[in-house]
Amino acid sequence: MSSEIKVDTISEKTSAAGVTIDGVLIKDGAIPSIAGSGLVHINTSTFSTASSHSIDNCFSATYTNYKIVINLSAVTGSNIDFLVRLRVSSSDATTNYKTVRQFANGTSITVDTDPTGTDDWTLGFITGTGTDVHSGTIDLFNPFSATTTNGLTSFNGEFGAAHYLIACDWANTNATSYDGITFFPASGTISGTVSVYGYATS
Amino acid sequence: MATLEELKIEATAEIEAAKPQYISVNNEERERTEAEYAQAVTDLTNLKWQKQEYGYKSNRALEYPSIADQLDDIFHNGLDAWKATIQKTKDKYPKP
Repeated sequence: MSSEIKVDTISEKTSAAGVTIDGVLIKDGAIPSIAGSGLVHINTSTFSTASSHSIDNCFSATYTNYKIVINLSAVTGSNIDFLVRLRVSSSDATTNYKTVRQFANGTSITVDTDPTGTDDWTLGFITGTGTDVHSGTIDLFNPFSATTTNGLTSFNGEFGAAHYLIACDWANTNATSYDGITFFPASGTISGTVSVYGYATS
Repeated sequence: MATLEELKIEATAEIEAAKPQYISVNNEERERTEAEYAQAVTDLTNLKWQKQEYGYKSNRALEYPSIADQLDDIFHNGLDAWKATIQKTKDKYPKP
């Protein structure tokens, strides 16, 4: 028996049943057992000259952990704190946020705690220079579970015309199941895009 | 030092001057509700209080030379010169 088959096309014999090779089903140009695994896109939203941007129902029981990617295309003001709150039933939660922030510029690295208090999380500081943009990622753990929500972030910020890498360790110690998130500057407006992804576990 | 009440008056005036403020919720833009304007005043008041009471720490941290540069300063110029450098930042952002 030949150990190799060379053909140009293998097609399904039974309509809509796909083709199975050594237990792996190939169907309609995809491998269904792989689709939906890894990082799964949930939501992308855009906003323009907004005082805040909220996304509801992006966290659910489907995923435990999430990745959020933020791109700010325009901001107003200088050295403005860029802040985050969790949401439940279309309302922002305003208590028990903890932030440990590390920011680096050149060879200088500094750490501080709760730089804007405990009623929100600090993601970074932003400055509207006209040409600069700010971007960041958040890994959020257990937001939908009624237990502490943790986060790890990285963000590129601007303060006093200097560029900073800002990394934060977040916790929200409320025993609350959160289903959404809000981004807002301490003053002024922001424009940009936020994408939310879920980490699939299989 | 401003009291919390004075900071709230400041914050209220700033939010009033910035009206109308639009927010984005689930890809739709709308003006803040009265409750959301009230929350914005509370947020700005708290932030002003936080900056007034503890902002000097962050401001100093942002302006101090790196640890490597400070060690270099001590090595080349001595402790008194290093203390003078650090004192400039402390004076610029005094502890309330």
